[in-house]
Amino acid sequence: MIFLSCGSRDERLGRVKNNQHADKPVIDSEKNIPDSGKSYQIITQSSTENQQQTISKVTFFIENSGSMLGYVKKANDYKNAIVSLSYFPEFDNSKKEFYFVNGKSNTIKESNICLNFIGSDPELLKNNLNQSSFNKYGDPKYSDLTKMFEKALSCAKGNEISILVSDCIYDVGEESDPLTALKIETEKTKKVFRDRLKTENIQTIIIKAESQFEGNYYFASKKGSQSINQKRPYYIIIFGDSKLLNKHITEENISKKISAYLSMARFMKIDNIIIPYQATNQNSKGTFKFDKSNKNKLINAEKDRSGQGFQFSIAIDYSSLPFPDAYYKTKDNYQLSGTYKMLDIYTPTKKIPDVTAFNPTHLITINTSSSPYGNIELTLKYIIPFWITETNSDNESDIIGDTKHTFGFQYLTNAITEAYQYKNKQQNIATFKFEILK
Amino acid sequence: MKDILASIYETMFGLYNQAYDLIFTALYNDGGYLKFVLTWLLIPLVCWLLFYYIWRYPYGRWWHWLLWLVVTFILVFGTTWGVANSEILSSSNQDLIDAIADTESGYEAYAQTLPIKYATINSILAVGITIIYSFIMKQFSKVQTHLPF
Repeated sequence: MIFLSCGSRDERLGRVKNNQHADKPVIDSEKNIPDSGKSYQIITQSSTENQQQTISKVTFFIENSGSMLGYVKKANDYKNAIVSLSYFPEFDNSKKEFYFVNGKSNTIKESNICLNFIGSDPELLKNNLNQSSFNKYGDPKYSDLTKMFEKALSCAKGNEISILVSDCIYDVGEESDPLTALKIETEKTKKVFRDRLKTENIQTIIIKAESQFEGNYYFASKKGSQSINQKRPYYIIIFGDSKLLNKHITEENISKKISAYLSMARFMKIDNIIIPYQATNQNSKGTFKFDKSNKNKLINAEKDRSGQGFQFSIAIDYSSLPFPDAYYKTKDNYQLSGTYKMLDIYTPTKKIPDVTAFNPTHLITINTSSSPYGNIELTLKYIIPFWITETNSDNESDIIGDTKHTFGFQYLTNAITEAYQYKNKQQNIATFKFEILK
Repeated sequence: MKDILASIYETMFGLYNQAYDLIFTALYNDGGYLKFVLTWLLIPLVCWLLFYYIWRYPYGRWWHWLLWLVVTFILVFGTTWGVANSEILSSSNQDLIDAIADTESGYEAYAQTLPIKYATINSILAVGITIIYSFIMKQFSKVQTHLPF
């Protein structure tokens, strides 16, 4: 292990005051609708709107601070991923702008974040994904993640989206207590997100990918750097209107395009999401009648006479949500009230005749061996993916061989999560309500 | 009102089957249950008005009354069967049409068993209402005051 005797991360990067101002061309209640035809009309209308929505412009921000140099030394997955993303089919008809971003915003030092326009042709970007270009533009000694978010978020408006590629390591400067400094810095990030979410329904997608990294890893929590040649994670963060990203950026299409793709997470406002649902007779045990005016009210309910309890299924249309199928099929992501237990979650292979107002994407079977009567609430929780907590590290000592962790990553994601939670009118994605009567 | 009519068939006679809810919803929404009820109320009414006030034969016997009951029974049975067929198997409800057309749904086979069930229930109800009508009408009849007894 080689530890360079530099003061802080700033010093190690040889920071000097830089006045390069390269900002030149800087450029919306829960509505789960049970069964009714009305919900179908809303969905249809929403689908039509989605079909008309195309991405008009994509602004790429590629962090080119010193800590990123190791990603661009040789041809690797990082370069492949960025080039692939710039040629992403969903962006074919979109105007593109590529920027390198580094530098630190500091009023005392009179420095600012450096934003350098590389061009609008993906070929130009491709030609600049090397160490000499990374060193040439702006001030690679600094990186200001909060400002980068601010810039990227400001470019995500209307049908325009922005993409930030970074190692997501906060540059907390010369701090004796880097973790406290990190917390303070992420408070700023939180505010940046909160401010942006005030006016628009911006969604944030964080994609974790990995690539060969050959260069110096600059510690954020202590002095010095470490030369490494190993896989390291980096992150592609996409900002844009929620409907636009739900339609164009799916895990299915993004995972195919990004080399060494690992995982992704979405942060979004979860109000105003329409998720049609309905109780159905599928896999039922016991007897009941559907109320004529509300199919989610089961009347004359009786348990199965052979002792198999009371059971029915819930048909849900998750098509308006952007989460991967596995999310909806994970029982831990749900909370069920009362004595009911969740038995099965699956995608129906046949049409369910009694569900006519929408096309169910999932069927959830619930059962109780106790009294079936009362109000039941099935909640789909908004859970931060496990990979995020797994990615976080508060210790950089074992960087050699560590191909999975990013220092302070959870502080960043917590900031984003808390900003969204502050704006969300509800904490859960959806709550499905049923009434079971004698 | 619709709920009361539906409960006669669905709850009292237990014809409801949760697996084929679309049929019962269609009968409820499209007025099928009202037609069923009118069938067993009005056909006997007309039949027994004819029997007590139009039929002028003064030597009517109990078996005349019984024969007329059988005729009423058959009329209600047949009419209900036709109405049920029309309301279920020839329904204009698109969801039900789709479900019946879907061979895997089992709706068609189940739907075919229903007209005869509704016809039988309505015929039984017609017999019941006949007894009530008879006791009321004979009070005001000039000829058949002694029938059924």
